[in-house]
Amino acid sequence: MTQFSQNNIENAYRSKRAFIVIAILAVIICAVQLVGVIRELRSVNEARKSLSISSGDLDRITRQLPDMRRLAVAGRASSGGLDLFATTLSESAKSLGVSITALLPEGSPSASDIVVSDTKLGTWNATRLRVKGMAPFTNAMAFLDTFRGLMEPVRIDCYTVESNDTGHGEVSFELVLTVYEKRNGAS
Amino acid sequence: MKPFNFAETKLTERAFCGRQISRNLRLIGAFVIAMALVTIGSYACRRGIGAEARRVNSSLAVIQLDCTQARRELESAKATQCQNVWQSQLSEISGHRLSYLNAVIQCAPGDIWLSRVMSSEGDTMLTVDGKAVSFEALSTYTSRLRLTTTFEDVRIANTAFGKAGSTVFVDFSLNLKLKPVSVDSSPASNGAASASAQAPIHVPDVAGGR
Repeated sequence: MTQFSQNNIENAYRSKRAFIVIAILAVIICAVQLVGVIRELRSVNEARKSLSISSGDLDRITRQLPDMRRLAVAGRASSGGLDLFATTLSESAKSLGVSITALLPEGSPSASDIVVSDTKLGTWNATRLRVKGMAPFTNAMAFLDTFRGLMEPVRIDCYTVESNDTGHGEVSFELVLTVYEKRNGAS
Repeated sequence: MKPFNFAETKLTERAFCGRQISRNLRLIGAFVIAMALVTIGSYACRRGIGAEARRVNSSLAVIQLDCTQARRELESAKATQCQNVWQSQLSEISGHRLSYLNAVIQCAPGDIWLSRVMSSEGDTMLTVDGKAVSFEALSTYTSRLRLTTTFEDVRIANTAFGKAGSTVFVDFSLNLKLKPVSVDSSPASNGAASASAQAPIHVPDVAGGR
C-alpha cells in the first residue's frame, strides 16, 4: 500500500517536471519562430525601402535624362584630331576663298587629362599645328572668324597677319594652333 | 485514541495524484498543440514573407539595373555636355585672341596702313607694324588704342621716316600689352597633369550608387 502511494506521488512529480520541460521548450520554440518571422519581416521592409529609394532615384534620373540628352546632342562634341581638323579647315578655306599654303604639325603630341567641372573627359593628345595661308583681307578675316565657333577642340595660340605687297589687298597669315585628339581607348 | 482510517487517506491521496497527473498531461498536450500551431503559423508566415521578399528583391534588381543603365547614360550625357563646354571655352579663347586683331584693325584711321600684326604666345603682347601718313595720324591711332579696354599699355617701339616715290610716310612699330583675360587660356599641360577649365557649368547632381 505504501509502495503504491509513493508511486502515485512520484508520477505526479514526473508529470509536473515533464510539463515544465515542455513549457520551457514551447516558449523557446515560439520565441525562435517569432524572432525568425520578425527578422524576415524586417528584411522585407528594408528591401521595400531600398526599392522605394531606387524607384525615386530612377524617376529623378529619368527626368534629368531627356534634358541632358538634348543638351549633349545640341552641342558639338567631337573627338578631334589632325585629320578631321585638316579636312574641316580645307573645306572652310575653300568656301571662303582662302588658300592654305602649309599645315605643319610641330613636335610630338603631348598627353593631357582634361577635367571640366569635376568631370573627367579622358586623355587627349595635344598637337601644335602651324597653318600658313593667304587670302584677300576680308576673306582672311572671315576665315579667322570661323575659329570662334569651330566644331573641333582647337585653340589658337598665336597668329601673325601680314599684308602682302602685291597691291591687291591680299594678306598672308600664320596661325599656331593646339589641336586636341581623344586618345583611343581613353575613357 | 480515536481510530484513523489509512485506507481512506490513501484513496484521497491517490485521487489527488491522479488529478494532478491528468491536469499536467492536459497542459502538456495543450502546449504541444500550441507549439505545433505556432510552428505551422510561423511556417505559413515565412512562406508568405519569403514570396513577398522574392517579389520585392526581383523588382529591386530590375530597378537597380535600370538605375545603373540610366546613371551610365546620364554620366555619358554629362561628359558630352562638359566636352561641349570645354570646346566652347577653346573657341572662346580663340575668339578672345582674335578680338585683339579686330580691335587693332578697327582703331586704325584712314591714314594708317597696317603691314603686320603679330601676337605672342600666352596672351601678353601684340606687335603691330605699319605705315602712317604723319606723326599726327600715328598719335591718333595710339590714342584710340589706349581708349579701348583691350590693351593695358600701348607703346611705340620705333618709328622711322620712309619714302615711296614722292610720298613720305612714317614707318612704325607698336608694342601692345594685353589686359589679363578671365578665361583660362593656359595651354594643356603634359603628362598626367590636368588642364582644368575654370568656367562654371551647371550639371544636375547624379545620385550615388547603392
